[in-house]
Amino acid sequence: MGIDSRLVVERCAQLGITDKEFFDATGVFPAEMEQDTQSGQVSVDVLTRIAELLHLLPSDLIADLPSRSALDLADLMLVEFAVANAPHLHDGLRRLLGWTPYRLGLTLALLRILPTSATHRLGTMDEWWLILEPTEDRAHPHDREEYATWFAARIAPDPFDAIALLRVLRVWLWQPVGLHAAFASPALLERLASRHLAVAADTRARAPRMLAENGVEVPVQPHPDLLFALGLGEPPDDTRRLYDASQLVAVNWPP
Amino acid sequence: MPPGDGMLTIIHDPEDDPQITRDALAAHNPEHRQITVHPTAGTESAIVLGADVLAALGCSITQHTTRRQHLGTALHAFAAAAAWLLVDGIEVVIVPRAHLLSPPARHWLSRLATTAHLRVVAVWHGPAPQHWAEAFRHPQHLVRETEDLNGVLAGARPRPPVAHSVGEPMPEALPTLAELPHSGMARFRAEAYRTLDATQFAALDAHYRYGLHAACQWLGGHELYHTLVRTLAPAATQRRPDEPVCLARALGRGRPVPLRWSDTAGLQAFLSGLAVTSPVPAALIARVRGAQAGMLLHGVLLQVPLDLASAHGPGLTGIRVTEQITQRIRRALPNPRFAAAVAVAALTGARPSDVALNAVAPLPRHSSDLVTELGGWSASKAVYRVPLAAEPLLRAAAIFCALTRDPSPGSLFAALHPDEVNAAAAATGLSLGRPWSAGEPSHAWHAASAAWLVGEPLHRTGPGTNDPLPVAVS
Repeated sequence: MGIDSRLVVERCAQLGITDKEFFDATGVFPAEMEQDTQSGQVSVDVLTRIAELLHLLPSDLIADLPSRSALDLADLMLVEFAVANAPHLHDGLRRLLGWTPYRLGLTLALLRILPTSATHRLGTMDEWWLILEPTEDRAHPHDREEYATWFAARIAPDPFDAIALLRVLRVWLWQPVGLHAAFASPALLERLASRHLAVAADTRARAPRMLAENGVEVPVQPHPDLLFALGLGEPPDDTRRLYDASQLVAVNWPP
Repeated sequence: MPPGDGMLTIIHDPEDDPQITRDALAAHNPEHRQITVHPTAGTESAIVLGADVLAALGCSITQHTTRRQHLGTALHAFAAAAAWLLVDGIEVVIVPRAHLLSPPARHWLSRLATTAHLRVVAVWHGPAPQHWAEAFRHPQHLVRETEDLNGVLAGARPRPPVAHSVGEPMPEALPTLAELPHSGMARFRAEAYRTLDATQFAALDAHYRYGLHAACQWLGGHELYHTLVRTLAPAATQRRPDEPVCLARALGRGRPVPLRWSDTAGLQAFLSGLAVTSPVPAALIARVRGAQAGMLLHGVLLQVPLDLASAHGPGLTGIRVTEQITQRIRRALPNPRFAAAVAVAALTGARPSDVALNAVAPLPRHSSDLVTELGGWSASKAVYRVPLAAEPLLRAAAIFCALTRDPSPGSLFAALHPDEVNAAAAATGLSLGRPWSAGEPSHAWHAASAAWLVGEPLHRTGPGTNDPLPVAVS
């Protein structure tokens, strides 16, 4: 496992972050990062700090995550937290993650029997999940409120998501015929999609060359659920309830 | 002289005319700002007369409650009576058989008239004393003697009617918490539409729309919001409408947003205000999701705790304080301080014992926003919008503290022991919300919320603007 250093460099360039600013925020230089991570042991703290700086999910930064959309790193950290400290959170956790009781039970069982000092890969019937061992502070937080807040910030829209979302909504309201679009990088789209804020747009608009060269190439549009929430769209199709909500990330809406 | 002027009016009836007694008893009508007190016979105690006044106000008072609620002195009993009389707007207190009262009881009656700015009408059936003013130790110029009781009572003014909200869907139609979607704002309405039947969705959506419009109106009338939006205006004009939008660039350097919403107290008051008329937790959650949607339409991101259904605070672990709840509290708890403590527990969703352990400031003169350490985030204070029905309890508590010269006037309940407040809550028989375990966060949901200006508004309030979701709840 290693950090996707190409993505880090790309995002730094997009956001105008210098090496020094990167070091100040994360404690590592971009050039050192690749060497540090080649051993396969990634500090979750460092990973989290980088992800926060670049407005990405920690799992976005893992280069060889087998099933990236299957599970957030942050989800796993909360699962570990729940096992260690807060059994009363189990039901809420399951709802938060949109998991079945079986899936949560399986994860909890596996976490209980695994050694706690290494990086693990867990296999189940249909997918691979990557488990990163959190640092001691993360695994056993003394302050549960702080941890809950930290976790909430990981999966709820943050102000930067909302800035992007408002741009998407504005373009959509101006150009409902789909001739123009807002463009995002695949990573940003995935982040917005995982929060049910936006989906890949059904449009023939192509990103201008300048954007495409920087990896900003996916036209995006507001998620239909969000449009309904804002009173700007029709009621959603009832048949969608058949989908596992987490699968919507991968669905190109409308089909 | 108008009523409510500290006057002592003596109805001298040496013949003991039964009609006067009948008229005095029949005059009891709190809705018309006048009450009739029945002095307990055979006692000279001023405390008992204070308890009689409280009983006339509808309080259930016994020796046991007097002791438990620290009303065992004439000062405290009459301070409680004066506090309730003032917040109820009572202008006339009629006391039959005043000639049987002891001198200290008569003196306290006189003090009640001047303190609570009301008129005491004492019906005196025996021979007249030499000086009425001396008998009651009342200022001479405020004493008047007459035989015309009906003349004195003429002109009683009815109290203004209590405002009732109309048009709310019945709570029975709403889904339970377990049936409610546990999604954030982006999916909440769509999930509700998919998973609830049409009746439940309509009931829930009415509250969603209520929250959305409340947010639109609140932001539309907020000076800070307009100030922040004005700072974005120049940037908006620089972009051509057909220029492709690069989201990464929007997040890059030089962006004017996000701007943190600095009016935290105002935000907390607004959010807790959503709970004031919310009948059940599910309705509050719908209102909050609606408010998030309304704010986003105005370019504001409202962040609330992720799992609202498990959070605590107003509208979730608290109960809706209605006129009936207030009456129930008052009936059981004649001491205004205890009554207010239980009301605060009800409206904040805090444990009753915690009310005594945290500073709760008296309500400001022209505001219904309560400032307290209860449920505060990171040791800071939290602000709660107080329901109209609960305001008299808090104002009565402040008056009571002032009249009894409470040593800690900045905190209403500092003198109470947590166990006493627990017992007081139990005496009301109210089910004060879901208890939460020690591992749960101590802050209330609205105090842990934050807002950011993240862009220009998509929707503008005002006449002629396009309304995305017409409101259904008045």
